[in-house]
Amino acid sequence: MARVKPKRQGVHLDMTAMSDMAWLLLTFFILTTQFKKPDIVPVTTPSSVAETKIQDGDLIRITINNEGKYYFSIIDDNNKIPILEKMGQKYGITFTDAEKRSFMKVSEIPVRISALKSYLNLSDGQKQEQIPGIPLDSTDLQLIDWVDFSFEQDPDLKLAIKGDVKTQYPEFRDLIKQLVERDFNRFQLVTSSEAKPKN
Amino acid sequence: MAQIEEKQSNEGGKVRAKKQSTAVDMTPLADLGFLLITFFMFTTTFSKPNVMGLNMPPKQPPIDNPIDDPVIDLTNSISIIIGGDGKLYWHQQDKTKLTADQLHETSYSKEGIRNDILAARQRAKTPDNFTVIIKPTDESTYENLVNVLDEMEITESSRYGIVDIAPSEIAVYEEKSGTSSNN
Repeated sequence: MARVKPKRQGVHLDMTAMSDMAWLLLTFFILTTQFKKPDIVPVTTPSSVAETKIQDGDLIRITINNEGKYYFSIIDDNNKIPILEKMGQKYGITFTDAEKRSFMKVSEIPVRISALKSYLNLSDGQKQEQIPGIPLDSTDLQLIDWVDFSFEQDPDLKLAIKGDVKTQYPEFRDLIKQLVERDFNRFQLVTSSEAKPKN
Repeated sequence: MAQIEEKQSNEGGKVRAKKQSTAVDMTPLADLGFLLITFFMFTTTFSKPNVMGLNMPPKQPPIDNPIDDPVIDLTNSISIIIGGDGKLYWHQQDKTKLTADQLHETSYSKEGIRNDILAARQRAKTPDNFTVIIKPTDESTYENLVNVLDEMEITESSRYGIVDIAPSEIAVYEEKSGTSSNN
């Protein structure tokens, strides 16, 4: 007599619930994700215990990299073109529609205004190599002009300063000095977060 | 085919279509879902950077007839000099009368500048007026400054200011840092 073999049970799990959950989470991540625009200039920010989160909306940002070069960013897309036009007006440069479209994609303005037009016509790959910075010295205050026109466009803007860990203090001081000179006294220093010590 | 017919004839009942199970294998669907989740989790920027407020005093119009500086009780303020190479010093003297002995070296650690600020505040005659004066030298970095500003937040010193270092202080700082590096 043959032995009674236990009937082979298939190990089929119902994957429907798991799949449902996965797609639900996926939907959440798709909806909340914001693709970071690639930074032209790599900057490591120092850490601080400050708890205020940065507000992306009405913000302009000056980045100082480790070599002490200055870059200017307009975060709000709606303000970008009017500010560019005002800058162009002051320095006698008119931008074509194609250049304006190209400007919309620029997250950090890396060149002086006179070189901006040719910079905007470069291909994306070439743009990566062109980051000489915006000049800031007593004879050429373009950077401050950018700030000036930004506030003219939108007085509610906030001015953030993003410095690198290795930025030397004199570069920061010169920037602050020139800004205070034009009555911009409130700054937000961008830092990464750090736990506040308890005691 | 023949077999099926045979089976049917054995049962002798009505001809029924065999019930097909509608269970689809969901495993690949779940796999794909999780794969995409992983992708979005890694690309999403949840942690936004923090910001630290910094207000500078407005530009002062030049004063034609500078009045004498009011008498300031030196215990009510502490000057922090940020040096290069992660060095940090503090003193509680008038900037013109400072000597190297009165410039104390400290550090960014918890026991360093934080305790010095708190101790100085304890010694202050009027703690409500206790002011921290931050004087970064040209050798210091932006990170040093942010760290000191951070200590203001931690020690809850609401009255502080960033001031240019005076030439007399630079001289003392160079003397001090020169001697300390020889040790």
